[in-house]
Amino acid sequence: MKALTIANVTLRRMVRDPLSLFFVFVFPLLLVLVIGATFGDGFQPRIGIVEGNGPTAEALAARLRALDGFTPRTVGSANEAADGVARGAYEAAIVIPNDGGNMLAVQVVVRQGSSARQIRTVIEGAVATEAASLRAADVLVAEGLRPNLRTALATVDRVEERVAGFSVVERSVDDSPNERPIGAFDLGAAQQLVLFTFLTSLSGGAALIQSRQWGVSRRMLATPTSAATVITGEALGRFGVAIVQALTIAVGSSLFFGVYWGPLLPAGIIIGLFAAVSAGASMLLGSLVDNDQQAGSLGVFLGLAAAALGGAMVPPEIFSPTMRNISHLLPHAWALDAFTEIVRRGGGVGDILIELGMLALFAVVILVAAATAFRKTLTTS
Amino acid sequence: MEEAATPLLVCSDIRKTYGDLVAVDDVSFHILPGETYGLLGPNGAGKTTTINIIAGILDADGGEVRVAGQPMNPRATRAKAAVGYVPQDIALYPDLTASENLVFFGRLVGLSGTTLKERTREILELTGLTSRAEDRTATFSGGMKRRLNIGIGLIHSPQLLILDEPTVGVDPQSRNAILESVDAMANNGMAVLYTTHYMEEAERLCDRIGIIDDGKIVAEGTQRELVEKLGGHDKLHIGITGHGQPAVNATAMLDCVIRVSLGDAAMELIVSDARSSLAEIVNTIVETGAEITGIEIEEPNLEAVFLHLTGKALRD
Ligand SMILES: Nc1ncnc2c1ncn2[C@@H]1O[C@H](COP(=O)(O)OP(=O)(O)O)[C@@H](O)[C@H]1O
Ligand SMILES: [Mg+2]
Repeated sequence: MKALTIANVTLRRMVRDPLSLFFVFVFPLLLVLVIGATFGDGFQPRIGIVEGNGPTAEALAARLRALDGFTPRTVGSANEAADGVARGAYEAAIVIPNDGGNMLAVQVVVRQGSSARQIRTVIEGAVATEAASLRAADVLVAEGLRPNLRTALATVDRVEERVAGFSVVERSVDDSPNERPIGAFDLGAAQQLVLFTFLTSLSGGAALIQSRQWGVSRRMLATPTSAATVITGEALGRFGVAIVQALTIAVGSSLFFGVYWGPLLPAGIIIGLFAAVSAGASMLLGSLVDNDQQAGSLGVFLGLAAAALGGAMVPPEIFSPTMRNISHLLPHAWALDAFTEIVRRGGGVGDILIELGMLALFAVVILVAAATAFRKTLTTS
Repeated sequence: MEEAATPLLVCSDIRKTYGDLVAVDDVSFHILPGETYGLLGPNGAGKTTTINIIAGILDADGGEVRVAGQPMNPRATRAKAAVGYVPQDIALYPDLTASENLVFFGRLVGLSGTTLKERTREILELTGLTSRAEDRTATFSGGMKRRLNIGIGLIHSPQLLILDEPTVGVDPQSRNAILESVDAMANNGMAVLYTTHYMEEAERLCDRIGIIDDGKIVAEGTQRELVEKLGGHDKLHIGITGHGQPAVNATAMLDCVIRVSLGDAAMELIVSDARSSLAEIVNTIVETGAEITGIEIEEPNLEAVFLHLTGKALRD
């Protein structure tokens, strides 16, 4: 009970401070928006395209590329396209076969789900429009060669024989029934969540130093409150700050930008464990440093450095295998792996046991170290 | 003499060292319920260290503290429940309001519900902060913070109130209010341990005083008892007009006069007991033809006692 009283004061103080209000509640969501808009290709769906050989196939591909709001990336083969869609690298892929026969059977590879169906409709429309004008152009060209009606009719017949029509065939890939396409913000938001939860916690460790400087920590010990209770209370307070920060980003980004965080239970456990790690780090910093302003700026610096190393600042594809190994020395990488698993592949708690175990280990080690260091500040001097 | 009441606080040979420095050197004293005990000593004498041991914030290296019969140490939550501790440095959350600070520490001493609400209201009243209850303490003046600092120590009506130099840096008006409320507290039966390096405060407030220097209690007793240790010498200032030298010569002959000197239109006499010898001295002066314009008796104060005992001034 008394521990909760102490924790409650920590949170109360945080929401009192206009600066921390901005940095906790406004700034991270702004960044989710800005980064999502800049690096997430806006709201455009990511489309892969496999270009067949032959004049008609190439012409269709060129025309599809020229469409507004539509920048498909070239993919080598139909199988690769299917894989990419299954992995979530693309929301959909268009497979244009080589010329030959009189029907060009264009495949649209999508996954199940309402937004996938929307994408299919868009592509079908685009393909149909482009196909119609291509056919007309082919006819006109043919007509120019054979200007009189008899030969023209004969030519049209021949054109119809020679120039392929288009059909759009849907091919569904399903990797897992819970599979879900990734929105522009989804993974960037997870990076923001771990970055800010850790950073806000670390720089918030300065509050512990203030309590010490103001003499209130010591005064608590003059009341019938054990040192263990004071430590628990302060740790809970740090945990509360981390949770508030994480939930602000999770709930805010989900409400405002439609970010998907994966199933509730595993997402909640990841957030809880990562917040515990952050709380421990916060308490450790607040115990090892004696000057609150130094702790504040050191917290920001360490928070950013940890996020950069832990893979929370750049798209994961950029990291080399070595960097990827190094990043797993930090809790950020484990939390991000866990989010990727549940967001992209619809994984459940059972699929992220290793990641959760590592986060739990980080939490225990750091919290024990922090409690020890904090107890020392309470009982000495 | 009536049978002495059971002491509320008993310190026996408490000791604290920091490396080679003996900050508290076998300090022993006790305080009865309703008694105000002053620890008087200069900065660095060991007052705060002593108090932190008594409040259970600091572990002693030796000796024993008992509060209301319970042993006191940093883990003794039962003994701490009987104590209200007011630290020397203001210990408040500046970003919380006065009432939030009171409620916070009130909860930590175990109050809740309507009791906590009621006590918070009473303390705000007592400290004169009712109108500022919902303001952050960062906006308070030094005196207001001091008052709240004390109020927090009183929230659970402790049996023993420990005040560590509560008037340092306080304007005279607030200081007076603080001293008066401490007096009122003691009259209500609370035992008070009060440290100060202001002799006037110790003289005014304390039933008994322990003079502390270099970690040791060098003398203890009521103000009267301490002063008597000086040998009871009083000082008389007698203003005179006319020729002063004959008066000086005549009074110097008296048995009760130890020393006499002549100043600017005044004589200064050191006497064993001013009150009993005053008539004789006045008569002697008048007989020499000098005219007395005023008499001032100065009994020796704790400052002088301190100087006498330690060879140091109380304040630097
Ligand atoms: N934590 C500490 N470490 C080392 N020396 C200390 C510590 N606390 C107090 N002292 C020393 O102990 C002596 C007594 O200090 P203190 O109890 O604060 O005196 P007072 O309250 O009478 O001014 C001083 O010489 C002070 O420097
Ligand atoms: Mg002191």
